[in-house]
Amino acid sequence: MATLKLLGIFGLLGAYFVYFVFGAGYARFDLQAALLIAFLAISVWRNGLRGTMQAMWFILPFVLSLILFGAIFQWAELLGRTDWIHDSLIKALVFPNSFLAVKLGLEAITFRDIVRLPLGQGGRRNAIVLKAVMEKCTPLMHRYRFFMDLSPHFDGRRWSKFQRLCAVIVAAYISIYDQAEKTQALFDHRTRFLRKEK
Amino acid sequence: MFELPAGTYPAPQAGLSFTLAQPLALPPRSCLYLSGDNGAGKSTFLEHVLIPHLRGQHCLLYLAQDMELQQNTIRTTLALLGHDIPETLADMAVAWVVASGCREVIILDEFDKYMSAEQLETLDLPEFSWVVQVSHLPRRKRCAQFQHGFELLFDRQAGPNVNLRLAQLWPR
Repeated sequence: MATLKLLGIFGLLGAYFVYFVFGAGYARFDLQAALLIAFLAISVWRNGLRGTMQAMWFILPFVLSLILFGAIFQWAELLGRTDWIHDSLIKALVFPNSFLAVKLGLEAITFRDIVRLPLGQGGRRNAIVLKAVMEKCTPLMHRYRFFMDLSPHFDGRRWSKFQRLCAVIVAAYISIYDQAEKTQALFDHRTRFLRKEK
Repeated sequence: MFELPAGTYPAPQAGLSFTLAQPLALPPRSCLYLSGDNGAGKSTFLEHVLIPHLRGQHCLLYLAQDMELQQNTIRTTLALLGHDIPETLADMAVAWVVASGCREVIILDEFDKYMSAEQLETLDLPEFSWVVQVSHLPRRKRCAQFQHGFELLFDRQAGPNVNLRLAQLWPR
């Protein structure tokens, strides 16, 4: 059952990417907009309004930079093209759609599903650790952004926002690495001393 | 001036609402202690009320309670600025404070649990115009060089309401 569920999730994700990101659905503005509304509704249902807002807040800088670069390229008529802004607006929908699709898909996989998968011992351990690290580290991103937004160290510097964003990303990497090590040690310890309940 | 008008400040994210009966108006060279029971909302007040209110007016440094997390951003900030990264948490925080060049407001949320008294001295708190502290250590020891001392007492009522009472500790 767990195998079927995971095959279903990855099948749907594959179909999404084949049709909406690399296929005919990519340039369909109406479809992408409808998809975004649907993903947002599912996200609100599963994670609440606050969780959804946090996810959107996280990807907002990327979306805005896509639109900004599109506008600049359009203004400069880069490579003689005049469809830069149209292309950017589509990307500004495809990017959050893909982010939400992957996020919702991976969130739907539970630890119980992973335990029931016909995986080898090493594969199961890695899958459990990966999910635990993902769950632990996602909320940290918002905390790191809070800390970096407050930090006065980059005030008045060129590219201060970019430097702050870099610091958030590097801090997140350190955290992921740290959490992966800790979770792996915890998992190994627990499995070593596991006792079956009588 | 370090100011927060009297009023009610909701923090819906934490399910709390703070009522400040009299305005907070601290002259330069002031030290403000936040005190109250565990869970009274001191850290929530800092992050959802005081810091958002002050950040537009003052340069502020915030050393949070969850230093295990904040140290990662401190480390990357020092690296991006081209500074050496000290090994201990306390030395790292001191280097971060020095590198900021900011000497207006410093907010320490139970930060003394990470530092010895000597290490705390290297933060050079008297250099700052305002120091805000949440701490469980004896008060005057650490702020004796400041001209003014205040205490903001957190009194959490049943439910989400927290009453804040301001008292001047010195000079009386």
